[in-house]
Amino acid sequence: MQKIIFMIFLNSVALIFAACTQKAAQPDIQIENVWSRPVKIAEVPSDGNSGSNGVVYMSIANKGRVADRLIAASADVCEATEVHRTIVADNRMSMQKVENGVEIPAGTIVAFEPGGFHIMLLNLRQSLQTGDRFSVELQFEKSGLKKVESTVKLQ
Amino acid sequence: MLITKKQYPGILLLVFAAGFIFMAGCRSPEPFRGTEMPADMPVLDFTLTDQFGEPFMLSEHRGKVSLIFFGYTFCPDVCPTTLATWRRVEEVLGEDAKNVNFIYITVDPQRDTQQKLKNHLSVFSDDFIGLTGSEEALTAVYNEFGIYREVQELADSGAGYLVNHTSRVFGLDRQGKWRLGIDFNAPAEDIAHDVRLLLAGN
Repeated sequence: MQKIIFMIFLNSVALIFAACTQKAAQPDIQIENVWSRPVKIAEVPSDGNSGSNGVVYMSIANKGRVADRLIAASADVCEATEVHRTIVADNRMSMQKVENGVEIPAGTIVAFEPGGFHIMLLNLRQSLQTGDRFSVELQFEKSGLKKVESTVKLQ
Repeated sequence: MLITKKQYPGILLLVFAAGFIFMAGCRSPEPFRGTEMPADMPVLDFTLTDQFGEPFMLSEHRGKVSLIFFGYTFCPDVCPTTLATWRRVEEVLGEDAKNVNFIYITVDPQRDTQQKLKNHLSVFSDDFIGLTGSEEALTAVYNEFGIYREVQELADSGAGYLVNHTSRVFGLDRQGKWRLGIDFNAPAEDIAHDVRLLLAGN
């Protein structure tokens, strides 16, 4: 009897240990407050190049213990997406294309917000109106593909 | 006249009262929340074309306070953020907003057609004025305001090129004199506060 109890005890310890190590080995990405600003486009020429752009903001939390990296994004509402970063310093605004993705360190929240990181939606295929929702796919290095919905808000 | 000990409290009270009245009279006017420009800034003027194809001459709109921002519709972040803030400023000001020119001048005349400006601004407010013009006319305005503007070619981007530019908003008083520099990210309430001070003739 004592032996059986001891075995169950050992088993439980092993299970808890396994659960912990599994958690430790992976990032835990949670994306919240995904939103875009409205954009009005007159008409889309046949080459699809409307020349009007949109934006996606959000907050990406990594509740795991390992860093992850946002490496790409895509959305059906536009021709292409790029991750950009705005830098406002000394009353000057400059924008950079982020080449190697955005690191989401373990235990942090990375904010994509006005005047900072944002997903740029290039050559929108349609107008984005307040209240519209559209899907955005985010590709993470370790967590893989995450699908989110962006809500169009005037704020 | 001899002052007796009994009179001391009364005199003290008088001194305090006089001091209080003096300080109230000398109190400096309410300060601006934006950055105040030196007093010798020039009166600015220019003529460009608005989003409806009509000429716009700033001096014809004197009597109103002007907020002026340099941006471009291709910009997805800072420029629409400023317009969204202005929309809030307009809301906060209510009736007073009628006495304000909200002016958006393009730094990307190549891509910003009148139609683009019209569509872009209409999302935020029908009252906002979008201006463009010839390369020459715009360059003169950039120089007058001391605008930083740099075209940045992006070889491997669908964006083609971006335009880095001055992000601050210029606040002009009713006489067209440049009075304030308003930082990107200034809260709408602070901007509305400063506009009201300018409207009051401060």
